[in-house]
This record gives sequence, structure tokens and C-alpha cells, in this order.
Amino acid sequence: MEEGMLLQRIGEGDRAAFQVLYRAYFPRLARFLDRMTRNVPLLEEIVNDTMLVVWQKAGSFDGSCKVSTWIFAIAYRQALKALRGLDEPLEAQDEQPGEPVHEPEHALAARQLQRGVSRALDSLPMEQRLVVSLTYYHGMAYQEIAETMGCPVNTVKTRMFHARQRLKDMLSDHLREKQ
Amino acid sequence: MSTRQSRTEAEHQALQDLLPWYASGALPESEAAQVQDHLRTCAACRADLAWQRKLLETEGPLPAGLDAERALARLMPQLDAPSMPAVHATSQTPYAPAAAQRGPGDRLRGWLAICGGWQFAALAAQFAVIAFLAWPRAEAPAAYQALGNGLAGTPDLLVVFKPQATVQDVQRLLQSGGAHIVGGPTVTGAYMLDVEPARQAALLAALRADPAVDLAESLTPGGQP
Repeated sequence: MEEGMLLQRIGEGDRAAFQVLYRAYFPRLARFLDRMTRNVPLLEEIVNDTMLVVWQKAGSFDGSCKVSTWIFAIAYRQALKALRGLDEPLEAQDEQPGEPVHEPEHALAARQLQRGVSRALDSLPMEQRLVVSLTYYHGMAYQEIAETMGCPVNTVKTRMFHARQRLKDMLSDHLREKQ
Repeated sequence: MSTRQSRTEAEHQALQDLLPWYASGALPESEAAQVQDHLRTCAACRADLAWQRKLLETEGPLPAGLDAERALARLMPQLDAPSMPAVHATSQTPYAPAAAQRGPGDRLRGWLAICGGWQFAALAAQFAVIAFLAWPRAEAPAAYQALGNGLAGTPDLLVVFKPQATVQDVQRLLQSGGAHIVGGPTVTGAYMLDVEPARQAALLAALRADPAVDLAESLTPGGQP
């Protein structure tokens, strides 16, 4: 079912529709919020806080933006409240145990790049990190990111510009390999 | 081509700024056409685009331990609650999740947070009873407590009591050390303690030496390892 229709039903108190939307958004929101906190229980609670607002406010959604932008904007605000004053660099994610040596070389290189990017992202200021995440991993247009984060479009572009510079510096080895 | 002739550094920069969204397919048609046009004549942007496409493929796995169904099960009962602000954040409480104010485990935690000034003997006894009653459902809410982000201030010590520890043990240790519980139990059964800085080291040593204690750790940056 189309998301706008789901939201309309949720606004009418349809719990089944809410559960459908919840399950669809849980992994997306978790991936987004994972760039803000590594505390899994807290992350789940921010998702729940977000979806509780969705439940309560679905009836007032006016369709002036995409449903996804509306929900991500709620999640962003909830996360900022949750993490107020805690904008510290994220701890690097645990390294996965080494895979068997027969892993194909290209897969190994891809995984190394993935880890490198993840570590590099973690070291960016939160706003830059989120712009990168929403762009690369959520397919959001810069206007949608601006709406989500409540900032001007030019700020989104500037954050992306600085993030790209820093990612390039930090990932120069991977970059050389790939060229 | 006219693009080559008219391309200024500013134009190049403006179009290069759009490359991430060009790569992800999220540009409006008109801008995508402009970028496409620019790419024909700009080797630097072509190389940049190739790099952007690599980055697009680097989406990592979701964090381990997430459970959508578990989280949804916690949320569903709250849908009936009267509409209220989902996040009860104030300057004193950096974060109190919506669920945290409603589940028994978090009622306990909230209660603990506001009861710091009570006589601890009474607190400890009631705490033991409520912890017992809340335990089966306290698993998830208890884990909301992020270390260093406590509701009642920053905890200084973390302690895990042995299963056979009695209320009297807990009472004795905390009273003698001048500590009070500001959080917990976590899923691992740990409690967060608040104690005056001058008494932290002594309490930590006492806890570690006590047979009723399984584990005691400092949570302060300068604390003992």
C-alpha cells in the first residue's frame, strides 16, 4: 500500500496500518540513527519515540512533503533531543572477525572500503555525517535533507562539500587503488 | 561546445557539488542534464563521480542486536496512552524515552531518580521489592540507561551484586560508602551509583573487596580502571 494511504489509515486509528509502516521504517530509521548513536537500546527507543509521534500526528500530515521526509525529520528531532549535548565522535564499530582467507579479492577490497568509509564517517561532525548518510544510503535529494534537518539547502551542500573533502583525505588509499 | 567555453570555476564548483545526488539519482531532471553536460568536458568531475559511485556501494550492515519486533511489542501498548509529548526531555533530564516513562522498569528508574534524598534504608528495602516485581519486564527499559547519560546525573560507579547478596548487604555497602543508586538494573543486573568524588576510590575498593559484590567499576574518566 502507498505510504500516504497508510498514513491516512493510521490517522484514523488503524493499528495494522501502523504496524506495516513501523516494520517498513524500522530498518531505515535504525540505519539513519546508527550514525548518531551506537547504543542499540537507545536507538530502538528513538525509533519508538519517532513512531509514537507518527501515530499521534498522522492525521495532521498535510502531504506538503514526502512521507519519508516527514518521518525522518521527526526522527532527527527526537534523536537530537535524546542525544542533546552528546555530539561526540562515534566509537568505531567493532571489527568483524576475519573472514576465511579464500574470500575473493574483490569482495575483500569492498569490505575494507566499507569499513574504511564507516570509520571515516564516524569521525565527521554529526551534521556532515548525516548529510552523507541521507544522500548515499537513503537516496534523499538535497531538498529533502534540508527539510529533514531543518536547514537551508545551501547548508546541506556545504556540509556535503566539507564531508567529501574529509572523506577523500581519509580514504586516499582506497581512492588511489580504485583509479 | 558552449559548455567548455563558458565553464567557469564557479560553475564547475556548483556542478561538482551536485555529484553525490547525481550519483544517487536524486537530482531533478534539469540539474541532472546540466551535470551530464558538464561531465562530458570535465575529467575531474568524471573521476569524482566514479568515486561517489564507489561510496554509494559502501552501505554497511545494520547494528547487531536490533530487533524490530521486540521494539514494536514495547510500543504497541503505548498507542492507547493519552497523547503526550513523546520525548520528555528537559534540561535536567537529557533523555527520557517515551517508553521509559511508562514501563514498570522505568517507573522504577524514574522513582529512583527522584528519591535520591530519601533515607536509604527505606529506599533499599522498597527498591528490592519493586525490582523483584518489575524484573520480568524490566529487561528492555533497563537497558535504555546510557552510561554517562543518566536521568539523575552522571553515575560514578557501576556495581553488580552477587545473586546471594541480601538487601542488608546492599544497604550496608551503600550507606557506608555514602552512595545512592541512580540507575539500573541494566540487562546484566548492574546498578549505577552516585557518590561524592572524594569517597569514590574508597567505595570502589570496598565494593571490590566485599563478598556480596560480583563486579565494581568506575565510570568517571579519571576513575580507577
